Amino acid sequence: MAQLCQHLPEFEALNTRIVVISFGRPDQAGIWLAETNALFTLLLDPERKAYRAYGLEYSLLRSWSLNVWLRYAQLILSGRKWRGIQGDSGQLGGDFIVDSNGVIRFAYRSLDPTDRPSISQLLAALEDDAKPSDNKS
Amino acid sequence: MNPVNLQPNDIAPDVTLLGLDGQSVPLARMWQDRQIALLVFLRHLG
Repeated sequence: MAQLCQHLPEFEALNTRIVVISFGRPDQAGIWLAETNALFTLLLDPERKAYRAYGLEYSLLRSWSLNVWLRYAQLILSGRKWRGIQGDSGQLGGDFIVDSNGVIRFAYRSLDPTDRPSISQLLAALEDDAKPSDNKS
Repeated sequence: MNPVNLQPNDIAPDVTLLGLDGQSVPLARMWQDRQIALLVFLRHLG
């Protein structure tokens, strides 16, 4: 999320609104927004309707694999504040780019919490979509 | 295994979510006004 904040001007230059979706409670979401200084639109999905509609998986096993523990340890050692687990830790996330016609242009469902698309992948997908259609492969 | 497997060129599902003020917000509103939306589904707020 911090990387998205750093690259926000590049997304805005590509006419892209970043929309963060969470199943957390409104009070948790307000605290999170204040702590992260995120300038994104934040929508809440307490019933996880959107998570299901976009096919995002639920796996406690993959959410707490050794790889995930190692990543958390790295973040904490690098000085990242540990906020604890807020809500159901088995729900996995994902990233989707939707164009102004409501068509999905990029779909990425996380296999575990450390698995997210890179900023360069997201920007490349947006830049590719911005090209005239006769230039697309 | 989740049966939903959305791919590029599929129509994005529209569902009604909540804003921080508790008001209903259609997800499709995020990609209206000729704007592209990057939907970032969080795992949790920790």
